[in-house]
Amino acid sequence: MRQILVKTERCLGCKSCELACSAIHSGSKDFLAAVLGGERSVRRVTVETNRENTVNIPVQCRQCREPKCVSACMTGAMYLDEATGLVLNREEKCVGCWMCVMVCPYGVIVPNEEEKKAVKCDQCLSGGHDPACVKACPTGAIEFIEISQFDKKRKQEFLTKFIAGEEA
Amino acid sequence: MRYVIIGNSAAGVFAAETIRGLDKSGQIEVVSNERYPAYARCLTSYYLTGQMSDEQMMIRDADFYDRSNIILNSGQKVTGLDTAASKVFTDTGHVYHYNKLLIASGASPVMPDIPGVGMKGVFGLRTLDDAKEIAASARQGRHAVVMGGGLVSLKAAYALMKAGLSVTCIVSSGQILSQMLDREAARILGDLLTGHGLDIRFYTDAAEIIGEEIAGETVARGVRLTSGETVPADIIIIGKGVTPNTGFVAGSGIETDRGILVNDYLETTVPDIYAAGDVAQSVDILTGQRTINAIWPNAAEQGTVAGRNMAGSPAVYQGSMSMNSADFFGLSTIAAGNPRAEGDEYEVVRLFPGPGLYRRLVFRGDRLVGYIMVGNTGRAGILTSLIRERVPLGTARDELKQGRIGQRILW
Amino acid sequence: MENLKKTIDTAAGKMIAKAATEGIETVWDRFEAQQPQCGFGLTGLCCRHCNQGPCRIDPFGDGPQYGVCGADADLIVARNLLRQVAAGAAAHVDHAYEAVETLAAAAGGSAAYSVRDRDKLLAVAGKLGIETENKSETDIAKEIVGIARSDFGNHSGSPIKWLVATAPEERVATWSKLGVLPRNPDREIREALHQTTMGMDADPVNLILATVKQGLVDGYAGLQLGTDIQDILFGIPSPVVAEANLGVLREDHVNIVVHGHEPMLSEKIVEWAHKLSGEAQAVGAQGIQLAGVCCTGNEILMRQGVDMASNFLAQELAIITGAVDAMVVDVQCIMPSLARVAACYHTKIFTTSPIVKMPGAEHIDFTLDEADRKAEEIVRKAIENYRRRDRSRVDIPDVKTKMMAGFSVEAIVAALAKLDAGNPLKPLVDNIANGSILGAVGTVGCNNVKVAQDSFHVNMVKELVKNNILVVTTGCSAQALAKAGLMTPEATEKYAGDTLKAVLTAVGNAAGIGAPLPPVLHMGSCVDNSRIGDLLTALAGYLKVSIKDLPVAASAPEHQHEKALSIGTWAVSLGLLTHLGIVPQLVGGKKVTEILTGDTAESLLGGRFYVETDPIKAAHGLIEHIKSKRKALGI
Ligand SMILES: Cc1cc2nc3c(=O)[nH]c(=O)nc-3n(C[C@H](O)[C@H](O)[C@H](O)COP(=O)(O)OP(=O)(O)OC[C@H]3O[C@@H](n4cnc5c(N)ncnc54)[C@H](O)[C@@H]3O)c2cc1C
Ligand code: SF4
Ligand code: SF4
Repeated sequence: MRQILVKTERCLGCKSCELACSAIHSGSKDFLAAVLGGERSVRRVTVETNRENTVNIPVQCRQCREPKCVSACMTGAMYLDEATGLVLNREEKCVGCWMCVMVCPYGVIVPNEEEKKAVKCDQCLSGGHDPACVKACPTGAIEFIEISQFDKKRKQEFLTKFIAGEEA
Repeated sequence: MRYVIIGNSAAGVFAAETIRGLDKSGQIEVVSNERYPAYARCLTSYYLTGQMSDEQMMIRDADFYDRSNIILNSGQKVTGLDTAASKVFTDTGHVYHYNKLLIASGASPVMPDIPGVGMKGVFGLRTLDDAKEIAASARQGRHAVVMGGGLVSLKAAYALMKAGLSVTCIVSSGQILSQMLDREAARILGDLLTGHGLDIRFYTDAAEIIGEEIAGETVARGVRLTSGETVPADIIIIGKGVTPNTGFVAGSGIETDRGILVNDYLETTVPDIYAAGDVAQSVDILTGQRTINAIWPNAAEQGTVAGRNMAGSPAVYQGSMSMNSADFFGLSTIAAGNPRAEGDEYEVVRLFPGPGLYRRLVFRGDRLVGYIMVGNTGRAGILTSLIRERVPLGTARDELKQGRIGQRILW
Repeated sequence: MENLKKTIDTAAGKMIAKAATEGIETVWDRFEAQQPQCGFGLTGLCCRHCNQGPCRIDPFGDGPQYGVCGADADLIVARNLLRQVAAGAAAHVDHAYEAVETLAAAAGGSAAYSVRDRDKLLAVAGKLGIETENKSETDIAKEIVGIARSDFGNHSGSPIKWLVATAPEERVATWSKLGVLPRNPDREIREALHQTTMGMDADPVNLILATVKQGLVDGYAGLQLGTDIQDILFGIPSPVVAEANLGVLREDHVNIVVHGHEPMLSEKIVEWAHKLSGEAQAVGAQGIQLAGVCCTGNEILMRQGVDMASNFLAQELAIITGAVDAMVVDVQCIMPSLARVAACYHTKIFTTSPIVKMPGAEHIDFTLDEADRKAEEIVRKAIENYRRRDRSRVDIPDVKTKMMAGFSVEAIVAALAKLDAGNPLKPLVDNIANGSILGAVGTVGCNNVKVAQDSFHVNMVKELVKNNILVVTTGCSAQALAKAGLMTPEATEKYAGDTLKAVLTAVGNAAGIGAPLPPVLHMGSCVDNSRIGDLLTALAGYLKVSIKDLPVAASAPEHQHEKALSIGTWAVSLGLLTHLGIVPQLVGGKKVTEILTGDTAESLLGGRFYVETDPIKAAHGLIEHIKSKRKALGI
């Protein structure tokens, strides 16, 4: 299974990934057309930075193996897809109760208030499983690659620390 | 291996799924006194709007039980257990033999002891059948009275308002959502709801339900309040809390307090019998005491942990936590932990970071132990996990008060 | 990127392929390397005006909506736009100022420059209200210089004289009412820079009005001033025939490519190339072949009939032929990559302006005093360099087209006068009125690597002429259309709608060409857009209507430069619907975009911007506009 990984030392914080994410999830799928059309498209990735502004990291769903959002989801909309290992939201079932938002430790589920749907990173599964943020990154800081268990663990540790506000 | 699960809802289904994931061949029997496949209990209030189909209510695909090789025995009410013989008895005369048993029978509404509760038109709201009955008489222009100011009551009131009824909410205390919110947050939500037409009566209670004889049946027509006033009502919904469904364990040797007492593995005092969900009294992550935090996420997680232990893959339950989320008219409100705590050992910070926004943060020592967020709640989960993981805050404590951790914007 | 997505010009396509096999990086490679381009920049939502920034506004509303200072999306976009337009205006005004200096030198007895066109001298003097009777050319020229300089030294609140002398009264009144009449070009540009610094103007509408003012600065103290004076110095263009595209370079000649924008140097290079052709033969060449790139190429094409090598995007490709012995550049649109590309060949790049230097190029400071000596030196060095050419690496694509150019307003009027000497505009107006000519569109501006080179110009224009729209053109647009063969009588036969064809045939025959006029009239360089302004002014005056009521429109299909934005702003101020084929970096400001492309601009100025990225749709958008103007005129 491939994961979205970040080389933080390469992230300049330009937020190109954020815009690409919004664009790919817009009706027109095209950035300028979406802006021109006044679409209010919701992004699933946010570039965060540490206290000293020295480390930037785009944060999107970690695709947890024991996802809190799935057990919190009171409609059965949010589920862990065994085939892809992704945590996905069946939007037709979602009622916008924000139980998942309440429990996601990374704060990466975005409440789409207008449509009352929780939106989250699906690694662009619907668009051919080729994440737009990865393609958009001008420095190649975001990668979509196979990772070993070890790396995965390190990643989780890092994020947990980062969120907790410790030294990244 | 024979697994029997009493209850076909959050705790039961997550347990069954977990067991099947770990044990491909064991026999899994789910017994439930309702007649539906597992559905979203929390959506029963949404159902009252008339805009939800039965299909939308289901939390799993239609082929879930077949696909997972789980036997669903619905419409059977468990009436007793023989723990010595490892047997479960039902009102339909079925007897289930188990090696491992999970009690996930949830809870039922508490009905107050006032005259008229038995009349037609008086409901508790817990099951899909309740919802269907209420929906059938919830016609535009009718009057409804909701008793209680808790989340279930308000969600029901909200749905009925959306369905076009005029709704009165009777709150015996001076505040709605008094379990979940402080006065400030409750005031914001209360104003929002009354602004949209909800009639809330504080510091009063129902004294009696007034009825009318129609075709040999007494049909509710109104509620007389302790204040003396009578409020007209075609529908009366009782939302005065729930009580765990423990009746059938009496005499089984399973120890109960308010609910069924469980240890860190969610096992009851009788070996091989587990309990999870609204029926189980398990350890609370903040207090360390055994309590019932009757919410869906806890039920689902407990079901998962119990399932693991039953299938022989030991797992320790981290503990439950009180939290909830409500969204009325687009204003999202989330509270978690011990948000209403007061007293010397706590530091309480109240913030008004923008129009319509409110935050209450409760710290004890170097830890966050509770919060309330009204409006703009997108990053609430981070706060929840700070409480759950008991993260020492250090300098982040001051940042938190400014709506961020490090440079991470929280609101 | 596939080559077809890079260019529709087969010569360019061949050279792109050559560059690829030789491992030489071109503009297309760099464009690809720049992908993805930052969305904040693309929408104009990034501000770097102060050191608290950079600040970015989230166009989708999730992220920050205000910069550190408090600026919102519209404000940031409006400030950025004003700076861009002021920069564009600055480029043209600086160019025009050079022309004024050259005329001053000529009037002061310079050996290198003189007044070559007495007619233009008198015409310009006339519009400026200068008495010419019994005055020498030098004296008149001096007075013209005096007026030009007085605009730059204007410390009063009165408007630029050149503007008042040129623009239709109705327009001047409109601009005056809006408070956008510029006083002194330098002062206005300075003010724009001031106005857009941190903590200054916070009103997007006020900033847009200031942008309009910059458009007028460009139009009258840049384009008009430049062209008027260059015509006096170097002559009013008249129809010429030449060839276009890289195929004009010759294997057996010393090839000198001139590139940039001003004619002051390139005219001299033309002169010295003639004088020194014997020396070229002495090094074994058959002679000297000159060819132009960009507007300096247009200048010497229009007046001297010098062949055209190509347009903006192909400047590197000219070098990649391996046959260019010298590329002489003056100002604007000169890719900083040229020296790196030239280093792969024997080609020498000569920079000549004190404000355009380039590591790896040879700098020969060109001054008016020493114009001849410097031009001679450059041509000699080019001849010398011919010896170093590596013949094994030469590959000149065998692609070139014939073209007609030189359609100044004076030349067009002269051709029409053959039909009606007393009333030369009448045949044109009659044919517009009877619908034989549906209307006219001016296509101008650059190439932009974001679209296949020339494709937007060519595809849109073909659609226009098919629908009986007469096209006038300048700049790189003109070069694109020339390379596509649209500046030939055959193009009229092949592409023009029937009624347009009939008119062009009649005029062509009357003018003694013996064939139709081309459907696309080359009116010159980018500063020569003032010629289009003059033509519109004349037509509007003849019809006694405002320019904004004419069935005409403007388009910058592949605009790239800030100059294109300032020219576009001037066109909108004139009352023209002005099409942009590439989304400008301002759409993140919803209000600003609405004002510029919507009713607000139209109600205040009569013109507005029109963004459409599909050439055929754009053509039809322009046609619809023209039809609506015709309807309003009752024709
Ligand atoms: C209207 C409403 C709104 C709610 N909103 C929220 C919310 O927003 N967020 C939240 O977290 N929680 C909410 N809840 C609470 C949530 O629904 C419960 O916490 C959750 O359903 C508990 O799951 P459970 O599996 O423990 O028990 P239950 O869902 O109560 O299920 C019990 C199961 O046991 C079966 N059963 C019971 N007794 C017997 C018996 N004797 N024999 C056989 N079967 C039996 C029942 O048929 C049922 O299948 C809401 C509840 C209601 C009613
Ligand atoms: S949304 Fe949050 S809880 Fe759910 S899988 Fe992603 S990170 Fe985990
Ligand atoms: S001027 Fe304002 S918007 Fe621009 S960089 Fe400075 S603070 Fe940011």
